[in-house]
Amino acid sequence: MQSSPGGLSGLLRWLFSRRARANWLRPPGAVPEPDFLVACIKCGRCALVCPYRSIRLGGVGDGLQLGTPYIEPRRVPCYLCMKCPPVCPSGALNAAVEQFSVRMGVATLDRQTCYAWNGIVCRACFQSCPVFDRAITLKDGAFPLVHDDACVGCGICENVCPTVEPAIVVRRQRV
Amino acid sequence: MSTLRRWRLAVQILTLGLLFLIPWLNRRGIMVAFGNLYAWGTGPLTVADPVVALQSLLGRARVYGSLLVAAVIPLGLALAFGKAFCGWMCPMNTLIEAVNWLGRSAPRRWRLQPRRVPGAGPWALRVAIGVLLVTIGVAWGVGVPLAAYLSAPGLISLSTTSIVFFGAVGAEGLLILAILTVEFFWVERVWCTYICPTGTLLGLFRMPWTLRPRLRPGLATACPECGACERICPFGLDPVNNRLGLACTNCGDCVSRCGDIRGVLRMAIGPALPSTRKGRESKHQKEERAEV
Repeated sequence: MQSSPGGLSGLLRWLFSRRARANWLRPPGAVPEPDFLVACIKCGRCALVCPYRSIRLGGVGDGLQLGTPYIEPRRVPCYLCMKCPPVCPSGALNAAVEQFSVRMGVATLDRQTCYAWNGIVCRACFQSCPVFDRAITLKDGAFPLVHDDACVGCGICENVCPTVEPAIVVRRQRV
Repeated sequence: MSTLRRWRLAVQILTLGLLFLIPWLNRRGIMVAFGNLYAWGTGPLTVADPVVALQSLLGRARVYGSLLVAAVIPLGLALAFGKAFCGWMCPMNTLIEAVNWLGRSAPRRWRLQPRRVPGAGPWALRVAIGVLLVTIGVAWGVGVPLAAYLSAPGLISLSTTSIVFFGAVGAEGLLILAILTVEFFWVERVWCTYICPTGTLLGLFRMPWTLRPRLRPGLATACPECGACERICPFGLDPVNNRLGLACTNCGDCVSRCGDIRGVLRMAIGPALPSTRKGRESKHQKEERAEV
């Protein structure tokens, strides 16, 4: 009995999850989104165990996302300690996923606002990326390039980006 | 206050205290136990709200082992102890009891139409089971999880965890406040009797041997049929005739009250009881007949 994103359920979810549709990143190991909403039992154990306080829980204003975990990288990114999947009792976070196989989202770089691409020397995202020199590489030693296949979506790059509005933003994968 | 009531109040206060203490310890890195009343665990063992867990299990294509165990544990406890979680631990029940007590002390004209909900009546059963089926059905059929909003202990514990652990006050308390307002001004125990799907599911697991108020063996004829147990029951149930519906939370108020009069009731696990005693009508039935 898999839930489908279309039809009545899609409409109800759209009605009740306005903010969540925006760009909520789920904790590492999360199952794809239509399933996640049903799988998550809102126990908050992932948020309680996160040593960095990255994971926060949805409130009443988030409709059906009440009690579900999300990460806002600009506030605190995920540092991939992987403490959360083992404590999830419902399997909404898959404990079998490995650290660098995680797909919380994909980083997208805006070359218009990125300092490096505009001639200012900056390697912040490249240096802080935990998938070092694989998810973000420097073209010609100066211009950051994101490689979707290696990016885990942790958001550390978004967090350290020095521009006022981060030039590199993690977008949740649309399933 | 009887001993039973004293013990129950102590457990209720302890539970409320733990709802604040445990996240406070978690914030300091002490993770010996953590979670909320949707699901809570200590070490490798997790216990979940059975309706929320059922919703998750049915809504997905696969059964997740640890969730199944987490759901089965409270149901197994319900086989033995009935809805004792409701009567002794549930923070919503504690708040409702406090509000109902305050309501009874308030001036009559403040209350719109104060009355007790007939906990063993046919509508209680139909509406309660209907709500449970809709909650599960909507999750199973269209993948929309409603149970989180209908689990009052879950909402309360989410709120306390949020306040203590994150320092953030959420709007979940407003939902609880809305229910308590209805309880204060209008009908007592309407939430527990008609709506709470977790309570309904636990109530469905009541077996003949399950813990409940019972006539002490050999004292059936000693009961003076004064009806005091029915009158004190917050759900308007009939303990001496074993008419407990789905609503009985094993609060023991009937046992305490009877203890002041004749003492023929006690809280026990035991053999099956007949629904009516020796074919005699209950006081409630007599009154109904007299009205007609």
